[in-house]
Amino acid sequence: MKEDDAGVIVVGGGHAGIEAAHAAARLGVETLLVTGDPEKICTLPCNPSIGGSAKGQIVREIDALGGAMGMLADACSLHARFLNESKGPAVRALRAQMDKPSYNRAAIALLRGQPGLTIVQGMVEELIVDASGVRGVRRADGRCHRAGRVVLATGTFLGGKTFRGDVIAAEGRFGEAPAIGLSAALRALGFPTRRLKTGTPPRIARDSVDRSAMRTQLPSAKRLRFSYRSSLDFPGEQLPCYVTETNERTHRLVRENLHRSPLYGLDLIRGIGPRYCPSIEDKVIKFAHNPSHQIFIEPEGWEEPTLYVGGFSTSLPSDVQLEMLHTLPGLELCSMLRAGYAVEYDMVPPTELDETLQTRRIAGLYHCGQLNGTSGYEEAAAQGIVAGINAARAAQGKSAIRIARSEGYIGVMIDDLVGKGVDEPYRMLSSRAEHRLLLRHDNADLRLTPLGRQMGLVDDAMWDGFERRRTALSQALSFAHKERMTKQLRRPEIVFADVASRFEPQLDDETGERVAIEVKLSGYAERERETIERARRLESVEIPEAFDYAGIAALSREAREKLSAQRPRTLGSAGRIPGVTPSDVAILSVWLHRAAREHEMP
Amino acid sequence: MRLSGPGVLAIAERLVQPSRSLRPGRARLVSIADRKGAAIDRAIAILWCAPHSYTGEDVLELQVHGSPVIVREVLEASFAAGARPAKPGEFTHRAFLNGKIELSAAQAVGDLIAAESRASARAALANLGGALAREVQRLRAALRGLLEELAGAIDFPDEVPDVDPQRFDAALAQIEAQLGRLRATGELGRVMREGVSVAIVGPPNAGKSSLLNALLGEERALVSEVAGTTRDTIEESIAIDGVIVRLIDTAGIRMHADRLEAAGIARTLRALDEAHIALVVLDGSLALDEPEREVLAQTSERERVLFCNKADLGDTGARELAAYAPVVGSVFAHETLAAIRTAIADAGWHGESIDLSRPHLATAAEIAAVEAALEALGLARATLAAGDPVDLCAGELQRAIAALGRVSGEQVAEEIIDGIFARFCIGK
Repeated sequence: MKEDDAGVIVVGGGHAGIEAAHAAARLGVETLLVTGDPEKICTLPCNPSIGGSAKGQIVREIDALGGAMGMLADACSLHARFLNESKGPAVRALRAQMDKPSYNRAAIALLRGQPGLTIVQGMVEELIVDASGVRGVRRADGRCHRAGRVVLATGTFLGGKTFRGDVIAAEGRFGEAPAIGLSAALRALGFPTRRLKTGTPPRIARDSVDRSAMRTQLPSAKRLRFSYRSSLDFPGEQLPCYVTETNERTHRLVRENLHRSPLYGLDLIRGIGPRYCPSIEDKVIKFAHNPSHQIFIEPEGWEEPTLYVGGFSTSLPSDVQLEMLHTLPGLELCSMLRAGYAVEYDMVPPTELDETLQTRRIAGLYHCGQLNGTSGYEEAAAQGIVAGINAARAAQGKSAIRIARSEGYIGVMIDDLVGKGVDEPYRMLSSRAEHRLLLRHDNADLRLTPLGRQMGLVDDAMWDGFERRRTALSQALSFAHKERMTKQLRRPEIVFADVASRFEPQLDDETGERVAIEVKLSGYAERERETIERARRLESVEIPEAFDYAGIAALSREAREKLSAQRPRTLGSAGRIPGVTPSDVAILSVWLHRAAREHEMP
Repeated sequence: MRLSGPGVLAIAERLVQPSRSLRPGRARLVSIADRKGAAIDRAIAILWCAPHSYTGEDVLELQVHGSPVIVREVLEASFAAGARPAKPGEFTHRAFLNGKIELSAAQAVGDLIAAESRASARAALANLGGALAREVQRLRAALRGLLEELAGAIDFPDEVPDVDPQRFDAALAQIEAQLGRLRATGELGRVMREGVSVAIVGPPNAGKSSLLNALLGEERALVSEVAGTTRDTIEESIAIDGVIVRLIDTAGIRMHADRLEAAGIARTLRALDEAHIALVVLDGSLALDEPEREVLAQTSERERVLFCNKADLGDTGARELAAYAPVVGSVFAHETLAAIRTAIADAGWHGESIDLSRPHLATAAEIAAVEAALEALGLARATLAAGDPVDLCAGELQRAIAALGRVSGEQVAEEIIDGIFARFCIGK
């Protein structure tokens, strides 16, 4: 049967899974997406937004490679705006609120319309593995699907368990069964697993809040897109978001009910939660001196009856949650449609992977998304597209792709994950990217579309658009140089509009802005490239796979353990492992030098 | 004298009598035997067994009598017993490779070995105690705190307030000033460690050699003889305020260009060029002639000590030189020599009393790190002054912190992120 003979099997229909399946099928490999409920593909189970600081850049990068997320988000955007507009082009980031039902529908439509991609309903319980690597998957109902490449994108479903006070449920997310068997199967294959925790806030009824009591955040009046391929028209009405804040009454309720918290009083949760997404309990306890915390009230769709209560993630019992919500200005009379909860799930340390996201343990097996300990839709999708491309290329006997830290946030993330591992759910932050002046929203296409084209993900229409932009940009840049406009453009107070009339031919706003950014940052970019060149030299020193760190007494014990466990591929990635000091790198370099010499002269 | 390596025990059996009396970590009075078994010297021998030794290998430490003849004989006996001479810094290198010392400590140990004078030995000891590392850490932590505010506002614009550029710049200026003071200690550290070189130049018979001998005579107890690099320049070392001062005498080379061999001029000029200080000796009893004026002109742009010799014999030249504020007197007068030494101290280390308990930069790597940090900090402040958006400032600060990290060896991004979470309540 056709289903039993795919080139790539993707397990899971979230952001990671759909990018992986979409990319693999686009590259011409017969692809099978196995998911628990094909109607619940990309439901955006947590917050309703896509993008944000550093995450927005990731969406642009996925789009530049030819991925789906940017176009899906643009088609469902009900509130979009640039963050950090005043803080500079390198950190400017697009964030958009989604109409959740549209996103789900658009994702399903995209997959169904993709030739070579088949969606199958089923819970995968086991991997079929032989001496040569992975051979396929076995479903809970006993059915098997065979393929030489399997991409696991199981999200929070592995051993998923949700908590609301002392109510514990075996769930992958709200109301959906977890994957218990697969978690055990991975351990049986030798993979270590660890527990992580995340949470989601309550949802309240849209018609039960007093908007006048809250601060309003307006969306951009201009159509803002992640993808050049998206329509220039708004997909629908643009809606505001609202901001309210907690007060002493809210905090007292938290403190009085702490004994009913599964995390604090009941001590039921063992998983490690993300610091950047703390529960309201965490905020009140750890930042006791803050008299109030901001709470963001966001729509979940054009027609959705619910509002998302951002910043209010909690696992306290439902009755306490409602009481707490009623202390917030504007929410005094709100009705809660769904309680918040904490979810604990299994992850496999990403140090089990190489830079292609293939596991070192089993050939042909790829891990992506929350399974690798990341959090966030964007992070998941980015790993999905890389895993999908690499699985498909491996199926075709082609070489894997790698995105360098200096080429994209995607490269930073994957290098961080496989090189350092994670201690808490990993979220992308601009602070993680040492070359962030180069990794901008505006130049994502220049950085990655040529790679996407080379892979075969970028079709002719997208490539033509890219070439037109690239040509216009480089012509405008040489014009600016020729007309000696660069000095003026470098002045911080000068924006493109000030010099727009001097350009021939006239530029559209976006190209003009890109010219201004390129000119303003050219000096910095040049220096950055020199740094990258220096780093590349360390990057080019490869460490043999079987290198014996234990034999080097000079390394600190910590460095020895970390290096032995993580086995970095190069001296450069060795140096980025926490606990590995420059002295350790110097020692390693001496030993590698010595080893290489001994190898040459036996 | 130390021997290190896996062969130490075998060598000790042949070199030390009775070798059976050696116990790890215990001092033993032994005799050292030459290759035929004849005793060379009575010595204290201490055996350190791997890994509990300085190098992490088996080490035999011998305390022999100081005579160069005995030292040479003991060395020859150890070579005969299977040892080989260590390459420069090899002990430290082995200690480093065996995990006994950190890289920065290794550098300080290297300096300690190289220290020839009391001052530089004390300087090396101060930094070995970590005073420098603590000072750098303090400045680095202050910078990190500032970057956390900036990076927090960038990554969490909804939750972390924007920074106030004026307050931010004031804080940066303060750190910049402190780093600047630390950098200034770098030159001092170099002087203490490596000393200064002084080229003695002047016409024949002006008294260059007598000056050299007089300075050496005063400091005889501290002189260490170093062979001259060429036959016609003589290099001798003295200590002033505990700093090594290498005196390079260009005696034998006459400054009258018309009567000089070209090679001679080149050597003098090179010695002059490479020296930190020019000590110009002129005959104060005579009027200045053209070549002497030329020497004065040639050295006018650099650290210079002008000595007007033989001023007790008459003051024809001295009057003409008065504008240059020379030391005037005779090499035979104690007060004249004291004035010359003070003038060298002024020119070499600005006469600063060297407070070695204070942190100071000692190695080229440390100086480079602080300079890189200062450069980045200057650029960071320039972006604020120009009104540039803060993404540029954040980048420069990250570079500054990374540069200082080279001294202490940490990573920037994770620290900043940790700091943001510790300080700001974040999360939607």
